[in-house]
Amino acid sequence: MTDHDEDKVRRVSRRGLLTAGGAAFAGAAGGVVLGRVSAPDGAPLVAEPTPRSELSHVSPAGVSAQQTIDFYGVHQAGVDTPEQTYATFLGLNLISSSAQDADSVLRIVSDDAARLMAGRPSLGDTEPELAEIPARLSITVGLGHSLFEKTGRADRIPAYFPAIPSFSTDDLDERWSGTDFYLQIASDDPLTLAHAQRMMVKALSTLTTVSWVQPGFRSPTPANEGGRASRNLMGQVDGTVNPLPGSAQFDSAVWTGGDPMWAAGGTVVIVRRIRMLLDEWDRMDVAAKEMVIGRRLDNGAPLGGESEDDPVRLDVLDESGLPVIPSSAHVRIAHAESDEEMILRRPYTYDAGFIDGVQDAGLIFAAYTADPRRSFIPMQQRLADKDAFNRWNTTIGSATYLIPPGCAEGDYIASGLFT
Amino acid sequence: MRIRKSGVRLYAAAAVGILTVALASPVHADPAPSEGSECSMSGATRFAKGQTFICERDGTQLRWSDGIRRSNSPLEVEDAWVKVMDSGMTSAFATITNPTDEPIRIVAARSIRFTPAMELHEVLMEDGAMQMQQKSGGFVVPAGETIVLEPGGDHLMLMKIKQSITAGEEVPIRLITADGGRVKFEAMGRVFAGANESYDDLSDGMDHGGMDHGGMDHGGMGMR
Repeated sequence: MTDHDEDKVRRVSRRGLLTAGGAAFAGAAGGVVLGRVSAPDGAPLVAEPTPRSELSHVSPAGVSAQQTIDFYGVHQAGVDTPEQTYATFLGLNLISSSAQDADSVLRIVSDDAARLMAGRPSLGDTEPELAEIPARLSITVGLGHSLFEKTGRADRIPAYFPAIPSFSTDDLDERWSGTDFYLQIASDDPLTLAHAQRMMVKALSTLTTVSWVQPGFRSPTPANEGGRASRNLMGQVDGTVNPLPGSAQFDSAVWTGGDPMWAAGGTVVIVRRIRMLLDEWDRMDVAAKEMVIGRRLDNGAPLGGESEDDPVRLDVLDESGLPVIPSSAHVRIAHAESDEEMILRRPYTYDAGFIDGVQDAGLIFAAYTADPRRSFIPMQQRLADKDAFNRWNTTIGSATYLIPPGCAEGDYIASGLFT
Repeated sequence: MRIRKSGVRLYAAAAVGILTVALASPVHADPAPSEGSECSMSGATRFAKGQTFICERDGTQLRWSDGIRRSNSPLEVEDAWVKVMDSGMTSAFATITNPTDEPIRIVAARSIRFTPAMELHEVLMEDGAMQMQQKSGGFVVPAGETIVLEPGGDHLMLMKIKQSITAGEEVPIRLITADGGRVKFEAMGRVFAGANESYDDLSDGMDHGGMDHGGMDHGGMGMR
């Protein structure tokens, strides 16, 4: 075929897809091998997929398709990593209460994570091709209280990893409660994520059972630094006030200190499943919604401000002498009262269908803190007491995990803890 | 066998000579077999008197090979794993690179804690079914290239395992080359549904027809 002919093929290919169907059918009936037929105008027509180069993208990840996040390092990935578009949170339970089995889980998870995050197949990967687009894949492992307890290591639970109390506004379903292990798998490509999840659950299938799986997604807003904040299903711009990764504020807010030494450079994650009462929220007008949130819905600016990144001014009064940000507005109550209270918010939206005709959707609120006793717990207590948002949000799941620090190449996460 | 072209890393012949002078660590010492005596398991090995003896087929008999003087092999092993199994036999896989400018032939493998004998297997299509059999001559790693031992292809077989191999367990394995070179690596226990003895096994249970395992009874396979 000459170059000229190839051009012709490409030009007719779009229309050809329509006509080729009929032509191929006729051809097949006449005993002609399907796949090469002629268009009505006589041009040769090859029924083949549109060339890759003509597609607008080959991965939903777009530019990040081939970007990788390092597995090895001082901290685990997936915490200070800019949020990926998709994340799945898994709670797993160790089948036995054997410390050796717990150690095996950590070896397998570390080995799989290091390979998959680098865009390489895991050991014994049955679909190695699905590892080829890492799209900033990160895999993070956490340890629950029950794991320390069942393996006889309750004395190793750090003081900064307490049980999180339940709050008056919670309506917790056991289904989403704490487990022995936590896996957080995130990527900009949902197929890559699903593959990594399947490989890891399979690899752990003789050691653990899956208690819950919470898939989530997000779409960043462009205004914020690095596009880190996103909108949730209520239209709210969420996660604007976050410590900036790499800053001293981030380090002290998120990464744990040196007691105990083995866990230094880790963090504590609190994963809350918050169901939104969207049908109720719909009854509110924009101005009323903004009063509840304390931010404008259109651009996320705090009330009284112009843009998303403007400081939240809690002390500004309107002409009538009332605070511009109402006393029960979410941003006011959730506002850190000191640097000590700072947490890293990494929320994802979930949309899990309908229950009795009511949409089951909301937020997987993942908060990371060096010490929830000084940050998350007092803040959540204030929210439970006063937050206007409570009327439209119900926390139905809560689980807390210690995220151990990262590891060096050749080592694995929390090595030595269970051996 | 899948051969992957890798960046050819040629060691100077002199450097190879230095590398192969001594073993890094002492190894398990077995009783030395008397010359040419019979043995019972194909692929069994003995390390004795600084030499390696391999149980090989000689006509209809299994006999100990002449001792081959041990050395450190320059082979490089990565991505090693072994299929999780309760009892019976199981297979191990790895990526093996030969950085030298001479081909290297792997003739035996050993994991004394887990198995009395390991065999080097290939998978062939026979009578319309995939069958495993011992690969005569072992695995050759061409100069400067990499071979991949993988399910459905060449692999290592751990016969009559002495203890279960669990997920995440590190199974130490040594490869032994024709010139007595040894290389040690750890294969991680991994859950894997494939790598079955033959596809017939999935429906018919054990069927050793067409297998050349030296007439051995392998016992049942666990974890199917």
